[in-house]
Amino acid sequence: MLSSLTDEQYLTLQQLIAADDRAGVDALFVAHQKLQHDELFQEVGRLTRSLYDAINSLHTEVKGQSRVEEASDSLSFVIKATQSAADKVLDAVDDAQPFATRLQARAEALSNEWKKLGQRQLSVDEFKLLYGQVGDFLNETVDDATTLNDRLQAIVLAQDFQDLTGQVLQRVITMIREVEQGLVALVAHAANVDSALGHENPEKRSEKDLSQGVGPQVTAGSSDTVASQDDVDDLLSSLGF
Amino acid sequence: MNKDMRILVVDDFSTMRRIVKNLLRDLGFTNTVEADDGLTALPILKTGQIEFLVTDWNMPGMSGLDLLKKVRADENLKHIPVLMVTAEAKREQIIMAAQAGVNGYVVKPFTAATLKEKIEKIFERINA
Repeated sequence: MLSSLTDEQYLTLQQLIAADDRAGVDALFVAHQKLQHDELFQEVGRLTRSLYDAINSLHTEVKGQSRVEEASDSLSFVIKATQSAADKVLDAVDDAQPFATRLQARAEALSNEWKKLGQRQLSVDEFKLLYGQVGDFLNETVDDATTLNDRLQAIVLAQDFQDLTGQVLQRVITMIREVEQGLVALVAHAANVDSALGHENPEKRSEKDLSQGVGPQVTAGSSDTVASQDDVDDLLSSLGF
Repeated sequence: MNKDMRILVVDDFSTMRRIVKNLLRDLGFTNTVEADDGLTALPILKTGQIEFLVTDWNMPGMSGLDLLKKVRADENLKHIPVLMVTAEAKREQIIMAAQAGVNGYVVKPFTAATLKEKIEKIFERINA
C-alpha cells in the first residue's frame, strides 16, 4: 500500500503521523484507494472495449455471410471442382483406353501379315484379304484417332479447375490471414485479462494423434517427414523389410 | 502371382480409388473391389474372398492403420498382404505401420512403376 504512494503523499502521511492526526491519515488512505479503484475500472473498461473490437473484426460479414462461412463455402467449391475435374479426366481415359488397345491389337495383327507380304509368303487370296483389312484399318484408324483426340481435348479442358480453384484458394488465404490477426489480438487481450485476474495460461493442446493420420505434408523439408518413396524404402529396409 | 486375385482398394476419395484401380488394371489385375473406409472394408474382407488389400491411411470412420491392426488380429484375415498407399509421410508413422505388420508402403503422389514394383516385391517375398 505504502509503495504505491507518490513522494508527495508519503511526505503528507509522515507529517500527519507526526502531528498524530488519525482522521487525516484515514482521509488520505480513502482518497488513495478511490484513485486506485478508478484506475482499475478504467483498465477493465479499456480491455472490454478492445476485446469487443477484436471479436467484431472476426465476425465481419461479407454479403450476409460470416468470413468462416464464406471460407467453408470456398473450400467446398474447391473440393467439388477438383473432384469434377478428376472424374472428367478419369472418364476420358476410360473412354479412350479401349480405342488405344484396339489400335494396338489391330496394328500388331496387320504387321505380322505385312511382314509375310514383304517376304512374299502370301497367296493371291491372302493378299486380297490383307488389302481389304488394311483399307478397313486405315478407315477405322481415322475414326479412332479422332475419338482419341477428342478425349485428350477433354482432359486438357478439365484442367480449367486449376485457374478457378487457385483464385478461390488465394481469397481464402487472405481471409485466414485477416482472421488470424483478429485472433492474435483477441488472444493478447485475453492474456491481459487473465493476468489482471491472476489466472495461469491454459495448458497447450496435446500433439495430434498420428495414428488417425495427419494428411499430406504441405510444407517440404521437415526432418520428421520422408521426402520421397526412396526415403520410405530406406526407412523400411532399415527396419528389416 | 495370380492376376485374377481379388483386390480390395480402400480410400475415402473415389478419385484415388479409380486411379489405383486403373493402375492395377494396367498391371493386369482386373478383379478389384472398393470400400471407402475401414468400417466398410472389414465386412468385405470377412467374406473371405479378398486376397490382397490396398489401403489409404487417413480416412473417416476407421483409419487404414486401425484396419491393418484389425486384419492382423483376425485369425481368418491375418495372412492377407496389405499395401499402404497414403499421403502420411512422417517417419514415426511409417514405423507404426511397419510394427502393425504392413507388407508395403507407398507415399502419394506415386507412379504406376512404384505401385507395380511394390506389389511385385510383396508377392516375391510371400512366395519365397
